[in-house]
Amino acid sequence: MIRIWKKPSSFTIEIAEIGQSLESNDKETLLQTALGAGIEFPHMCRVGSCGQCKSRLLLGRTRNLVDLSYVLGADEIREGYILPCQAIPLSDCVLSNPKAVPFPEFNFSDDEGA
Amino acid sequence: MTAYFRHSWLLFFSGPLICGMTLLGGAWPWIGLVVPMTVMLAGDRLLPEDVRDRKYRYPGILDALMFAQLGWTFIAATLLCWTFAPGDVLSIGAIAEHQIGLKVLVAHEQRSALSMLGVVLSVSLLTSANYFVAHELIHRRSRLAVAVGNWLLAFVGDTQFSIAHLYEHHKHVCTPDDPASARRGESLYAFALRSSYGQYIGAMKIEKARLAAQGLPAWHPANRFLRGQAMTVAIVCMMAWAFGLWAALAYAMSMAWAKLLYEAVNYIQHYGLVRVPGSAVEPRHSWDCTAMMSSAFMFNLTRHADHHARADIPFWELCTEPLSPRHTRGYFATIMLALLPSFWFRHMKEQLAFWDQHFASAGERSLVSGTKHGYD
Repeated sequence: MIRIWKKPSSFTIEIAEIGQSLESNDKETLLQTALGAGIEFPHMCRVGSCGQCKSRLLLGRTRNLVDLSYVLGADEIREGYILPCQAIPLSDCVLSNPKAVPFPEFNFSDDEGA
Repeated sequence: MTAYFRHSWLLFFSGPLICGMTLLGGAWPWIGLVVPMTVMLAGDRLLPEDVRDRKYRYPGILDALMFAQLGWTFIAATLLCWTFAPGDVLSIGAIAEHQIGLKVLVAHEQRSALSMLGVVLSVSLLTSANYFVAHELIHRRSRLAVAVGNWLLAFVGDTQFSIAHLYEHHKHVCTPDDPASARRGESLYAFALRSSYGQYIGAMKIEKARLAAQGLPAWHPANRFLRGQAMTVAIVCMMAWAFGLWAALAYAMSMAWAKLLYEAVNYIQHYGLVRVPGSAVEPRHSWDCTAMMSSAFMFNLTRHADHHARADIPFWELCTEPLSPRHTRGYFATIMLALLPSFWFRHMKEQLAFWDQHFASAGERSLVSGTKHGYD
């Protein structure tokens, strides 16, 4: 109940491969934050079962909304892999996912074919 | 305020009506069956399409509406067992007669088989709603919501749903790996058997694998599948202990009928649609529905394409999907049609041909072209 009056904490989320810092709070998942910022983050089911969004948490802490061992092996969990679609940040985080692509910046210059 | 009321059918209409009629006995239980069904069918038919997106300032009210279903389930289950019990067990009839002034004791004394059938069917109609309420709740991540969802499922004997639905259905939807996606040419009855069996086995395996990953044996108190079964067994044993074996048997029958009704919902949601395994789940992989009454009554379960695309948002934020195939009738009428396989196949033949031509990807088209369509 106290939650209602508590202002959500704000955190900075960084995706290592992109380098861009994103604003997040303790109400939304890391995937929601990334998608909200226009990043093409790999994902599919959003319920923590397909493993498409699997990423490594390099820095920071998260609260995992599901039992990660439904999808990840014990080794992966030990190495810091998480499911961003089921992770609420508890601190500033740095996340690594080589398949994440930044929001396409439209380039209307002449070297379109490159 | 009406925006909140639209989802309160179970709490203020079906729940009290069906429980009340069950208590009255005689021919009344059939009213409890026929009236809600008529209202739903007529509402879908007469009311305009529902494609509006609504904003809610107090979503807690919507949660409360769903939690209330657990109360009606408990009352309805108790009254069903009371109907089948020898004599006036727990003096429920006497209390109703003397405290509330309802004349129920004579009807209870002289209850007929037909009246009891009406009780089973109408209570099953009410408890089949447990599935779609629980569906919303098990998708949530609050412990309370998930617990209420699991108890709702325990009352219909199907707690495996909270495992198989999340970790199997959402992952494998529209592929042969998902038992809960109906295949082309498969009748509702064949599907209900295959789906039920497949989901049970699937849920068992998923829990076993999860525990194995943690280095635990399958027979462990942390096994959610086993815990769910224990909840159902506890409920049935309580009913048998309080109301006798016949009551528990009748209750088990109503569980089975509620399960069939929900499998019919599963059946129409993805019937005949295919997806290349591993490819993204798109709006085209679910049948959407814009019928007003179905959407209001079933907590926007009808906005199914969006649910699969954004399974992490609550039901009131779901939108209708312009790029998904649609059931043109409401859910209830569509289910009625599905109960009659030959009519169903004839109806869906055109729909699926349209899907193949306009929605399917090249890969999906080649998946369906090789196989017999079932409606030929």
